[in-house]
Amino acid sequence: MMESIIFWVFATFSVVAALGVVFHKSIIYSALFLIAAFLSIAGIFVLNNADFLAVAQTVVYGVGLTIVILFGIMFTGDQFFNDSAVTKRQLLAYLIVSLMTFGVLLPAAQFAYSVIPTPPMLREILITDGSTRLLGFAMFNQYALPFEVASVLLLAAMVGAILISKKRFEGEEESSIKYTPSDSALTDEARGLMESTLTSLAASKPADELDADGDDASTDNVPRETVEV
Amino acid sequence: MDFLTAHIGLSHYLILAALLFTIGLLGVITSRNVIRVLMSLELMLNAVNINFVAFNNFLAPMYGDHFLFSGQAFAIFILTVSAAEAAVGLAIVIALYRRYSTVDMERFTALNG
Repeated sequence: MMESIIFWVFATFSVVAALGVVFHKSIIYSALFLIAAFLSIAGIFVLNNADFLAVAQTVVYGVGLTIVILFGIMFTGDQFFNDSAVTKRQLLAYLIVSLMTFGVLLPAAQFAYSVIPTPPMLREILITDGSTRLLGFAMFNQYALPFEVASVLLLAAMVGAILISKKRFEGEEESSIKYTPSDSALTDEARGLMESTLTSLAASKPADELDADGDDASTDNVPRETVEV
Repeated sequence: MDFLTAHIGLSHYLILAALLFTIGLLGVITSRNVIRVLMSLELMLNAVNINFVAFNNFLAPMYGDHFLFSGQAFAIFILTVSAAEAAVGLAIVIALYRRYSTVDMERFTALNG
């Protein structure tokens, strides 16, 4: 009874906030709606006996991530463009999304009242222990390897984010990885061979093809007569 | 107001997650601001998390004599990955803004022939 009322409150809040995220004109308000959506989803997690996850959701999403997003908005400015104009592409998107929604919702609504209760044993464990101990046990036994991989992923993402958004100062190359001859895989011997081949090719060119400047006549794009006049 | 006091089952949570997911998908497809697209993406990931947690609560698998918490463990991994994704995504947005001075999706046409 109480549980269902709380569910409806949180569900309504989260759906309204999600609609606000997508449809509000100002992106700052969208970010604030996003906080509301994250917090009400944390409430949904509590209803599902996931207390640790609810706190993690509040800390990581509700506070950390939205602050990062707000920083992103502040860096790029609160820009308005003609978002409200409904284009043909947007109409198509609405059609696809509404078809998908009702394709899921109509079959699901048929089973809405065939209730699967929480297994009573699990309910007892959750009431006495909470989910945190069990979750920690799962994370460090069964999921120990994915846990370590996730830490490497976070480190890589951190370094990558710093590198991508780093400001490039004046005089600095566009890319920090640049090609220089000394870096090339060519050995000195091979480079010497290449240079001697090029010089011998230039020397073997017939003398009558060379004009007065000493280079190839075909490369002079200005006719000689116009220069003399 | 019968439905307000009826027992809340698994499918209530699944329907809520489907609604949030499709709203997020709508935002990803229709909005032109890159940051709004990122926010809608986070909404979609959260909807998936609701699914995981609800399934874990109602259909927790038994392993020997104890329950497995796979659903919540996966939800935590999704949390981690989405935090990493948001950090890299916003870094890309800032780099794009330096290059084009806009966050309008329609203006990023450098590869458009």
